[in-house]
Amino acid sequence: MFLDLAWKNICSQRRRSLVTVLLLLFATAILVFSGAFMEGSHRQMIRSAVEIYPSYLQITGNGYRDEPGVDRLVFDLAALNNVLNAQSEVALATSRYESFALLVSDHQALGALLAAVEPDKEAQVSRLKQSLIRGEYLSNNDQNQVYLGRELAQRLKVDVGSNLAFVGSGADSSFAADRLHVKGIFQTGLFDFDNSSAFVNRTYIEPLMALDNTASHVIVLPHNPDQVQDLARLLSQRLPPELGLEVRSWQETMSGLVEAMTVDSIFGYLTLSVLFLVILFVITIYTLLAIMARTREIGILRAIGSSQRQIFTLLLLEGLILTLAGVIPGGMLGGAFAWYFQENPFSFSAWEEQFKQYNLAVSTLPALFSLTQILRDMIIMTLAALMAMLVPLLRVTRLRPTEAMRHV
Amino acid sequence: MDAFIEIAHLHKTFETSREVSTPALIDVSLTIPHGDFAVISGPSGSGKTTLLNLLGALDSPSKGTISLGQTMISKLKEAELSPIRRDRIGFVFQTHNLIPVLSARQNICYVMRLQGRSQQEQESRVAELAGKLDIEQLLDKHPDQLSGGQQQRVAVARAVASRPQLLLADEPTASLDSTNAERLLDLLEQLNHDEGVTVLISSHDSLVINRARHSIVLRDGRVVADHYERNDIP
Amino acid sequence: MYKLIWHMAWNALGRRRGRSLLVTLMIGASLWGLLFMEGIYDGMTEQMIDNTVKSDSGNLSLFAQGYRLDPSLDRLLPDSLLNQQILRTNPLIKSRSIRFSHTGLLATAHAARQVQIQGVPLEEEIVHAGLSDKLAQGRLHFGSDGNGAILGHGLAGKLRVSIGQKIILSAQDRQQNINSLVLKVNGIIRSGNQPIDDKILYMDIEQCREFLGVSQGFSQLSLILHNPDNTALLQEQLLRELDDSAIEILRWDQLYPALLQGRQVMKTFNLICNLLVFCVAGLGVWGVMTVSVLERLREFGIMIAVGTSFQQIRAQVLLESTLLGLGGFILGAGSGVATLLWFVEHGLNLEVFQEGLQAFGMDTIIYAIIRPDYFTTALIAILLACTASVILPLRRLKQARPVTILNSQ
Repeated sequence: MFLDLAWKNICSQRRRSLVTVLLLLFATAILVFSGAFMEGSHRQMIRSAVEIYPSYLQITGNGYRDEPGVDRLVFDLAALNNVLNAQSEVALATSRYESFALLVSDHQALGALLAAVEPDKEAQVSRLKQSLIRGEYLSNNDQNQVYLGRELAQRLKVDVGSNLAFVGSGADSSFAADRLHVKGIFQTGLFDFDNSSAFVNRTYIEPLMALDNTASHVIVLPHNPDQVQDLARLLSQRLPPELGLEVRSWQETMSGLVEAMTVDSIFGYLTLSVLFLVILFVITIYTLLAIMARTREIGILRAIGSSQRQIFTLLLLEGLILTLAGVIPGGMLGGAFAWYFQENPFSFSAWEEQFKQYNLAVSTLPALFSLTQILRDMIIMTLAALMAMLVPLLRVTRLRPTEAMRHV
Repeated sequence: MDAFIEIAHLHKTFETSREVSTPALIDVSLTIPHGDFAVISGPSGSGKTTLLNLLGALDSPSKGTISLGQTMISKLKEAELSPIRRDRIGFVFQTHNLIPVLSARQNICYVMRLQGRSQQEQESRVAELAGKLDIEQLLDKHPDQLSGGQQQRVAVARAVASRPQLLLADEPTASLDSTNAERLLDLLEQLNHDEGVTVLISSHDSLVINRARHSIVLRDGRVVADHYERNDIP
Repeated sequence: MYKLIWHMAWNALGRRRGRSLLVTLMIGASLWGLLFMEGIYDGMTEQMIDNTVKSDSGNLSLFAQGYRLDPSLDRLLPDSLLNQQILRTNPLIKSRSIRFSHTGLLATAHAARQVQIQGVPLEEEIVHAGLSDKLAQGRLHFGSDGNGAILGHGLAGKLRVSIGQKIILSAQDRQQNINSLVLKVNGIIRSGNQPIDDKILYMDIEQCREFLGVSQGFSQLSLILHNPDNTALLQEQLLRELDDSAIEILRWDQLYPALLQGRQVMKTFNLICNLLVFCVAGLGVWGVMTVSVLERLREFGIMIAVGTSFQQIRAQVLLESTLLGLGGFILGAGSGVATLLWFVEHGLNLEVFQEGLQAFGMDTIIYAIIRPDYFTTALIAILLACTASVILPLRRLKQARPVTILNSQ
């Protein structure tokens, strides 16, 4: 009976019903889509930043991340590899030795990251190989070959086939220098990285830099990238303490970026909340107007024996129907947009410059279609709308029947 | 007699829907002289209120003409009617006569303010009418603080404050008890006498009909009787 | 007459106090939110621009032609440029500083990093870049022997160096020789400009020139103006007066187009937010005004019957909605100004997100700004919304015949 009565009341107050439903539809669609877009674009930014070079899981010597130096290296690479090879969760592990060296061309001398990598394995943990734009990527047999970032090559005024020299120091702090031949040039889109990175084959540089059994990082590729934090915990427990190592997932190594995305989300939701504030106010106002127009009717209902609770239930039911009539299609609409832009990401080629300034190598941003998130947003919106309706609702149910009936 | 209102072959039909139209007034012709105290009576639905609304320039006739003095009001546009209502006609309705956001004094002054009368003129007129209508104590109260009878007296004060030539009252006693009704009629008669205002009342209340100098009876939209009870027009 | 309309409008609002208050509160709260958002967001953007202008671009920067594409030691501006009348006495210029820039490698015993060497006349740079406010540790001094250095906060962090520590700077000089120099860390600055903080090493300009084998000249002349609005004007003047194809004169927004783009995006974004919020708020006012007009039809009927013109009723209804809007505006603008003033003075402390904000190149304490156009835009939007909200109810009123209005309940 309540449902029937509630439905009739909704139909009889068409304008209030329509405005409330449309506003909630609009608000829910915006909330769902904004959430999906923020989440999707942040994931994309983080993913591209993670996958370009840092990768999902890093093992370093204790304290290396906070204070990188030759006294905090991985000193027993072979032992570490033995442990990693025995882990079923680990798909692949590869070592890197990072140092900073002065690269000297005929025209310029520039300080840059010079990293020794295992080329074949590196190709599987980062986008280094995919980012090749000229020449060739490194191979495991290379000698004196260097793989340069595009902007760095430009600044040094070298190209594929050019020669240059490096001056740096080895793992034993000894002086290391040699001539290099540019084998390939890469561009990841990450400006800072392309502007200051050079790669060589580890087996070539091992004797020059006295690497022996050391590395600055070991990069671990898990079978399931979603469980990288669990794997980090697991490895921390399984690695023998005498190796003096620490394991970090990308969430820790890229904490700055993760935090930046959190800040972005916070400001995004803050902005939305201003819009929602006014929407909820309007819903309160329309509920108040609708209920006031029916104060006399409510008085009559009370006079013929309906209890306060029954009236409250009736009005709440009306509110709930209106809310769901707005929130459900709103969620579906927002979800549809989220799905569409997940499949067809926004193109931001005009904004690439601005992204680059923040060291983000992206030109397209997708939304993320997530049912749980959509449901979460819909529930939030439903609760918020019901809260907005509660004040006028409580006000009218508290009236005494005679007061209500006198109301014209 | 000097005709003040001339109604000639007046028709008013309400279109209730595209096919159905209801005639409310059929071929009504009347003459009301200056200073008349006329009562239009007749059963419910006979067309009393419709006639009053037409005379008060609140509605336009389907056919026929209405002249007020020298002005053919049935031919005027809405924008031209406002000043006529403001300056020449006073209205008293059955209930809810007053503007709720204004006090009794402000209600009485309202039309004079629309006319742009001076503050002094307004004050002296309010004082004069308040004395006559015995509402001195009520002037600073708002309508919702007044009884039905008090509201009607204030409504009459407002209706005549601007010295209109014509006072229209639509069932003015309908919401009053007989004592208050008598008092109201005394007042209307007094104003008719003192200020020379032409009074036209629609009513089916015998109290009112008995006071009529000029009695007009409507039935089913037609005038069935139009005669003078007493011949004492001032 | 106006007094009467005013009186009636005011009383009509007073009679429906709950509703009027709710609408006022709605407009006030949304305006407060918008003002807070605009003030803080613009504060962020302007702070980023200000950091960049001070630490690098100035309002205007002069470079040798081609230097920006190929920053070599051969492309320098001559010292004689500084004696040019227009650069010495132009009343538009507030401060100027020269910089001698080159890249190099900075090493400690444990680690090495790429650096941007910036040889500067320290006294001038302190004033010009407002370095005193940016000093994070140590002091702004190159030492009596000129072998002191001031490092960017990010660079110092990555190299784990502290005040007083020795560092080795290596770079290729003009004659293509690799030189090294031992410097002592005297100060660490936090400019808020990410690239500067991550890479900069300030050292004495004379020492720097000697180290890089250059006898005279500099790479950049940065100018800051009394009034940034005159930037384009000064650029024009300089282009005309210097008339030297060997010199490039660039505005900050030409050097950092992304920042200008950011500012424009922020402006558009604020405008869209205003539009959206006030459209919705207008819907609220519309609902209230429609009901308020419809439930007073009888009252308006009486007014019409006694000779009130439609124009007068329209004025009253319009005044009612405008009063609601103005009430909301005063409430929102008042609380918004109070809130923003607090944040102008104390700043919004976001140190919890330090790492994240720095990734965006932002300061951790964001000082709000207040612009008059926030209020004019909002006022216009509110008045428009309030006016628009009564169009429909008034049209219904106008279309009805007086008798219909009078007889409606």
